[in-house]
Amino acid sequence: MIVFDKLSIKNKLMMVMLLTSALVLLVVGVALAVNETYSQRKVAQAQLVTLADVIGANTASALLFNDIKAAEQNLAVLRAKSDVPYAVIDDPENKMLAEYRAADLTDKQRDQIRRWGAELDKHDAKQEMKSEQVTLSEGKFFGGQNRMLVVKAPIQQDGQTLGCVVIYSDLHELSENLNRYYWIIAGLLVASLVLAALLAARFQAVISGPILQLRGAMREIATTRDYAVRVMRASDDELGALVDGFNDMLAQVQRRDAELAHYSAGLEAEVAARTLDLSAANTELRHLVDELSVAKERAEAANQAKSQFLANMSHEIRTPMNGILGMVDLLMETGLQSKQRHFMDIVHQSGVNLLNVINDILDFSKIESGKLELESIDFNLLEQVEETVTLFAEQAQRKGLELACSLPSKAVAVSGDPVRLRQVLANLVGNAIKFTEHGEVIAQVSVIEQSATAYRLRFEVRDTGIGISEEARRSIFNAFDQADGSTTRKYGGTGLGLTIVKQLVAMMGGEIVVESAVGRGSNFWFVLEFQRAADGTVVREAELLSDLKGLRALVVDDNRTNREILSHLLDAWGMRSDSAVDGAEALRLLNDARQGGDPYTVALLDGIMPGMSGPDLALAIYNELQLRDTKLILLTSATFRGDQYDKARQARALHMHKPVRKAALHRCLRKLLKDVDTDRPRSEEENSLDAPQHLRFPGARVLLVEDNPVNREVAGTMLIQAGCEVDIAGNGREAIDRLAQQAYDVVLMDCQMPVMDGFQATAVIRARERSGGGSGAPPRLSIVAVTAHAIRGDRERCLEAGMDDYLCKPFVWKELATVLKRWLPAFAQTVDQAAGRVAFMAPVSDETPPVAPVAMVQNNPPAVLDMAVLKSIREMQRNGSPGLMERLIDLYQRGASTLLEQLRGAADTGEREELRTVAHTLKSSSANVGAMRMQRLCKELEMMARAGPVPDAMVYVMAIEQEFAKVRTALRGQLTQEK
Amino acid sequence: MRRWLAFLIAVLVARSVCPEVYDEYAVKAAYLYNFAKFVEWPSGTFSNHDAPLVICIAGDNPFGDTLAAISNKNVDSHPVEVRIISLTARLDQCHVVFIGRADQEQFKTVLLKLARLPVLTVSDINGFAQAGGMIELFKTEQRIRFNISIQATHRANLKLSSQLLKLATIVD
Repeated sequence: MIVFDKLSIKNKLMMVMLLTSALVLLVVGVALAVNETYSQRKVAQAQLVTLADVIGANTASALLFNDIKAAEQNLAVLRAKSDVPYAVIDDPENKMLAEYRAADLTDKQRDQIRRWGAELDKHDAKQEMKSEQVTLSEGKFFGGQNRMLVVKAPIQQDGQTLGCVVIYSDLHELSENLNRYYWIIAGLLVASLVLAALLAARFQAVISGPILQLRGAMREIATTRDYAVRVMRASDDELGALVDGFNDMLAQVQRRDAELAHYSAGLEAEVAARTLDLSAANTELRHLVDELSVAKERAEAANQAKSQFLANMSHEIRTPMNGILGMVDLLMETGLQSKQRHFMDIVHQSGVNLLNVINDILDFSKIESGKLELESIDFNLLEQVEETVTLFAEQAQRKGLELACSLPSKAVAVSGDPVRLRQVLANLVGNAIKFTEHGEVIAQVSVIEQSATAYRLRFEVRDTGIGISEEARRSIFNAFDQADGSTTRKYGGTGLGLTIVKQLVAMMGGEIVVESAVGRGSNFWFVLEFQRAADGTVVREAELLSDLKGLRALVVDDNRTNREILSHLLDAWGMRSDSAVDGAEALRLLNDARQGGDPYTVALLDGIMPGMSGPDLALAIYNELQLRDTKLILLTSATFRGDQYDKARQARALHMHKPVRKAALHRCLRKLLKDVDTDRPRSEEENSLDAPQHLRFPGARVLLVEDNPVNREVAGTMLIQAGCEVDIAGNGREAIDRLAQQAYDVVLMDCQMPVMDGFQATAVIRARERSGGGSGAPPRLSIVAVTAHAIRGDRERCLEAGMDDYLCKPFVWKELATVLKRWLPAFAQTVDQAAGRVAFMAPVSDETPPVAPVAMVQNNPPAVLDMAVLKSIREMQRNGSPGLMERLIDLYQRGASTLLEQLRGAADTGEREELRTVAHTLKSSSANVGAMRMQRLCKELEMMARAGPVPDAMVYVMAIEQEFAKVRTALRGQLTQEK
Repeated sequence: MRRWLAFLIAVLVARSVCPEVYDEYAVKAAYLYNFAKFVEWPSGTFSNHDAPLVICIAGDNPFGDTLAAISNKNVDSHPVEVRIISLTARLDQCHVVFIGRADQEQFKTVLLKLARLPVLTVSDINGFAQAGGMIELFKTEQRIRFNISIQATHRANLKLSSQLLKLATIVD
């Protein structure tokens, strides 16, 4: 059936027709054959029976008259029947009377035939017993392969049976007839089938033809998509209907196509029209945008021009200001009469004020133009607050105000813009001090809320000043608006400060609020939210807490706020603190504690108190023998003079500046307690920490590149006074020529110069360094940019140009010294201003507030080599180690070179531990050959690495490298001297 | 009963047709009867359909007892009646007349007497058929054959069956 399914419809039709006709023909043929066989046999049988009857009738007389011959003659007529091979006439007893044999019948065949006849007779005899009539003529077929027909006819005369005729027929004639007949039938069958096939082949086309035609049409349409094709209708039957339906469908498709085409044509037209509209609108829009962008560019250009104008203005103003301030600074150092000094002070203060005004204007314009961007730097917030407040210590001291910081006990490290935060606080504190005649100014920071990622902090600056009226409060944050016009005249200031503060606070996400009552002071506060900083910036809290725990401390101060702040600090470190309001109470408490067996380890004394002053109290404590071992810290805002100084010195009190900074106080306390433990001499460690303004850089070669003669004079004089060897270049080109001739330790590079500006010059210098960076050359020339551009981004531009640091004009010596110290650490020496004023230590921080000169414990400035060390080596050499010096120096030089490389690598990668260990090793070996300055540098680096990440490690490494070059030269000198 | 009879008759007839077993005249007697079967007498010969068919042995009777075998038989519906009569007696009552060799001299007379009468004449006299007789029996190869004179039968207005004629030797 599968085969059938696969046939084409044509073949199927043919197959069906052929199968049908074949089946019919076969049935008919078989029927005919069967019928023919049967009737032929019947006929044959009837013929034979007739024949036998005739013979029998004819033979009766012969039998009656016993005439066998006649009988045989009768039988002989059978000769005409070729299919009768044998016949016989028997008498009633079955005795053969006569026989007939065909000519070709053999005896054997005859016997066989006779045997069959006998069997048949036997069979008949049995039947005869039953039937009445025996004598009827009958024919019977018998035999196996050679089928034979036997006909037996009785011979009768007058009812008397005389015998019988038996005729045997082999029926070959019949068979032949039948065979012929079969062949004819078969032939007819085949012929009919062929005919049927031919007809089927023709007639199937009647049905399959239209279908194939339909299919062809479909295929053509499918390939050509030509729906105009129509199929011819060939007949009126179902196929015709199919074709009609197909044509109908095609017509519909064609119509739809036409409609669609029509549609899409319309659509295209519409789209084109719309597109035209759109593009017109677009063009219009583009024109508009172009116009707008032109307008925008113009506006931007105008704004840019304004900013540039401001920057230029500030630059133009700063340059002469530099001259004024710098020169005043220098003039003040010269011997002046007190009146002159007073005038100079005013000039100086006016200059500073003017500078502040300019800065304010610049800031304000930046904020207004939206150019001010906040940075996001991790920093220690409390340190920043402390430092900011500290800046005003002197000012507060001068007015006799208490200035204090109240900070949370735990360090707060946040991510934000420390510079702007400082600006805000500085403004507020500055204002507070300005408007407060007596009383206190407190800067307070408190944690409102803290989470794993953020802090909410409240910043507060309180004063006990004149206060602000409600009316004034409304407009206090407006630009150029102070409490009233008269205050401006009285207190000075631009009136921009609070406006800037307000806007900065707003930019940092807060809002500044002022609470005030006239005559009772003001309170400015705001709340800011900061993200927590990465862990690194957090101070070592655990370390801080460890060693002070449990110690007893006494705070003596007449100011309650100060007492509270100090007690709070001490308690936070785990100390047990008490407080006293004056010297008498303090002494009583100290004595009580001593007698109670739990004495105070340390006493913090306010410098200025009513009645007994700080130094007086210190001396009093010192003079009481049983209280003498109490450690004393004097907290002052200014320098003690005269007898106060002497008293403090006698009492061996340490001196700290107010406001007290947490870290500084902690360091101070630890130092004191360490002294207790180790009993080491006090003066050993503290001397290295110098205030920048007291630094000198003897022997440092400085190239000053500056076109402005005034600035050249100012900076040059400052440098020369600091002991530097100064060369001056008028522009970048000259600077490069100079550098080609001589090596310098540092270059101060003005940015804007004729011929070649600082950026270009630096680029050239750096390029030369890269290309000609030979082995002996100094690693990298330090270039400090000096610029009057105070706009943010200038610093980045300088650093990008290859400069190492940045100094903003106008600058005073302190600022210059701070920068130089960074780049010439090896040359830095502290000036020993007043020999004999040794009793007080400098505050224990790197940057001290700008206070008046403080006495320090001061060694001689360390030389490159400590001769004492070398001397002892020489002694050892004399005592039996010849060549020791040379070996030691050689070893040191080789080891140090390797260590320096490692150090540079560690600084590069920021490997803190590596930095520390290498610095430590280098420190020790440097000390061995007496390279004390080198040792000191290494030690500083080591300490820093121990404390935390060292971002400017490379600076140190470079300084160490420079120092090492000097040490080498010096050692070489020592060796030649040896020989 | 009838079958037994038929069987008996069949056996008897069979015997009668076997001349070797029985004497010559038994066969001739059977022949006489058989001849009657193949002869058609003119209509009106028999008064009715069961009128006897008379077979006359004229003159000397050579058959002895064998004639009994044929009497009481039928030819068609006519019962056979054998009469032994003298040569001189009326022969017109007879349908078949047999003349024995013993009456060789007188047969011509008889024949004359029977001329034109529908009577079948049979004899075993030599030359009987040529002498105007109808059927002449003769013996050849141990078998009894016969000659027939068709003219004689025609004259007597008898019709002989072709069956019979076929077996006979026709003399004229």
